[in-house]
Amino acid sequence: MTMKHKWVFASSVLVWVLLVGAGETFLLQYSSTPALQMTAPALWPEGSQIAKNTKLPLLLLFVHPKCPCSRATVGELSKIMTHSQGKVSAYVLFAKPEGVSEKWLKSDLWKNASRIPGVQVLEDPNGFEAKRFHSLTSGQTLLYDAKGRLLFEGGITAARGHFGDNQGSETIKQLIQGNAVKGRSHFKVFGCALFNHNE
Amino acid sequence: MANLLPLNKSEQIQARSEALFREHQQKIFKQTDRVFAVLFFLQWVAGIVAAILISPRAWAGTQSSVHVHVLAAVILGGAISFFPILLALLRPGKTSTRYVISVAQMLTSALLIHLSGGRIETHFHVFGSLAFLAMYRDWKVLIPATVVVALDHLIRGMFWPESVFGVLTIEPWRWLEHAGWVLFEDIVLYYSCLRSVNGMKEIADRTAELQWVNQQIEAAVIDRTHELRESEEKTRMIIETANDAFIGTDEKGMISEWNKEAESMFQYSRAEAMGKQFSDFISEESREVYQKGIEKFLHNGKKHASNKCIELTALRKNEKFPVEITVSPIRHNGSYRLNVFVRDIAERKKAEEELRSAQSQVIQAEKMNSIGRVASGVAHEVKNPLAILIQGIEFLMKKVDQTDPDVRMVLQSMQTAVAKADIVVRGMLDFASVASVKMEQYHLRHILETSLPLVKHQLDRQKITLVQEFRPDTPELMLDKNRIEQVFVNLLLNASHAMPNGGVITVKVYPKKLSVGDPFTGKRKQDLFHAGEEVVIADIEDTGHGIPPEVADKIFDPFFTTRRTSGGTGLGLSVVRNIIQMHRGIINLENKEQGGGARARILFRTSGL
Repeated sequence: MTMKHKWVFASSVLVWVLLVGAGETFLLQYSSTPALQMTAPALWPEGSQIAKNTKLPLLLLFVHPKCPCSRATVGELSKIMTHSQGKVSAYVLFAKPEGVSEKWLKSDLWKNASRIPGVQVLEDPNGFEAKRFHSLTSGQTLLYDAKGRLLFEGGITAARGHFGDNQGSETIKQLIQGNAVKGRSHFKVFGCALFNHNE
Repeated sequence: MANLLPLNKSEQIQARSEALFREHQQKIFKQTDRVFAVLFFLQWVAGIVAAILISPRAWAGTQSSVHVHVLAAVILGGAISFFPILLALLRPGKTSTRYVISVAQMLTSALLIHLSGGRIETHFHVFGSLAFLAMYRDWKVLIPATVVVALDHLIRGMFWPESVFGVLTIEPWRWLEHAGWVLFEDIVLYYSCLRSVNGMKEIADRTAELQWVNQQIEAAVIDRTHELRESEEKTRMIIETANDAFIGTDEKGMISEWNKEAESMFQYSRAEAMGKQFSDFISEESREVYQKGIEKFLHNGKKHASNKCIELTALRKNEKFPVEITVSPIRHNGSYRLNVFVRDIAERKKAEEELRSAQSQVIQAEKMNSIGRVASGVAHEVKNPLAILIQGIEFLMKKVDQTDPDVRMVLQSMQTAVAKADIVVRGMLDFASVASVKMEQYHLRHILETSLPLVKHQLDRQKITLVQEFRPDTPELMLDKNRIEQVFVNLLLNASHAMPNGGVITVKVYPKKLSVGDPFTGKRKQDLFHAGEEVVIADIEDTGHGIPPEVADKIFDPFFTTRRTSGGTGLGLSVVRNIIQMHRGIINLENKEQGGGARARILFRTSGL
């Protein structure tokens, strides 16, 4: 290989590394950037249509039926429920915008959530309940104690659509068990927006 | 300074083994590069498909757009895959190509893990990729891959640990555990690579050794083949330059070999003779002998006809000539091949004939010599008594009364008888006296002219015409004038005796340069005349009754005569031949080819007496 060829090759490798590095960085950036988030009501809102269990903590998960990132969230919920069977009431609320079909609503995500023991899956027409609980992003999870006090708010995945152990789900497990949790109890949410941009 | 000494066996095998190993290794490197080129493309497509299936679109209420993962699968996946594919196609087998492929494969793993949402199952891609990289059988390729994994975990562990380890409060050394599992597989693959490489080296060693042995065998085969060719060439040269014709045939006599001498002997080119039957070149009368001999041999294997010289008559364009053949059969592939050596013995036969003739001449000369001595003795003993008888008869004829017819008749008979005896005695003395000659230079014409008056009366009486043809360029010769006169007189008288009713005697004298094929020439030193020699020829031709065939062989014998009743002594031609031989010439008496009559031809040498 001549010196010229060596330079061409080395330059090509460098360009390639930079290009791929930039792509990977962008992807990481995208995956780790949380969605919009509002603070949930500290006490159970009175107007909520969701049946409140006064004996057990209540877990609410707001989901966009088509959000691919929420597949990991539903997966994490499944693990939480396995760990906390009988110790929590859980509802998964699928936002149903006006005018969409049943088929649109009852996606794979709906079916997956329905299969989790102890979880009740509900329609949330026009996202009224989501709005009531100040949830803007699919994957927003809330935990209220039996007295209606907010114990946890945020996401239960480490990144956008990312499976695996994470601080959010670990915290919520501890709270369901009734353990005291050090540090924060609200986490970043990674998922699709529940509402149109103009809403 | 380079070692210019030739390599020994082990060094040669070692060098070849290394070359074979490198060749095999390069082949594997290139093949694996191509496998990865395909794999990268498939992984790229798989990534896009996975992204489309898992996260096709990003949503906001009822609004949606293409998910970033799909774009990442297409663009970033393409960027990762394109460069190693290009290198695998353009620079297969290069170390740098393998290293880029190694890095790119790990980056592909990272992308796929990301696209699958970090599913634990997708992490197996990392371990599968390392196993794939081990296909190179080059453990060093595992290093860049391991470094990429380690760096990925290290950097992300430092800046965003939750993306790798799932928890935020991770221990700083946790990345080492993940890298440790990769290293664990690396160690397994490292040993696997080493074992594969050792196996390849063993194969290369064995192959090199086999090739060396093959090379030796091939060299030996080439040498033997060369020697065989040389031997064949020598044999061919021997056959081609042989003085004998060499003809090879199969059992059925079909010709497959035909050397130059055969071409010359039979006047058939090799191409013409090929495929013909050898028996076609043997005369009809000899053909049966030859074929029977061969058939007998082929029937019972006994060599009746082989390795023996058999004299046959061969054919050369319908001309017959004597040959001697030797047949050597060779057993080859279950059948016989017949090698026939043919020798033209025409010259030998001629020489044998000439030898027989020479021997006969020697015997004849010896006989003549003996007869001469006897004749001389007898003549001398008889001559004196005869003289007394002649004188006595003459005295008695004068003294005795001859009126008595009986007395007169007795005396005349006695006189005639004694005269005859005297002639015989004189002839015998002539015959015996040709022992020495006195040579001087003469023109044959001059001697002939002095001889003619002696026979003129006889010729005239028989109404014989004499024609003389003398070539003016005839050179002078060393001759005994009296003896040659005697020769001419004898021959002219002989000719006249053959023509009792008249005729023509032609005498020709001319010079000639002898050529090959002249009946008097020979090749041997002892032959009197040779081709190219200058001679003077004297022909005396008559138009008489010719020489009867039954007497042709005895015509020069002493005392042989066909005119015994008319006074012939049978010594004339013997004396003539003796005189010619004393001149180292040749005389030949034969019938003429045309017109009847006989011809006496005498050859005189012009020099070297």
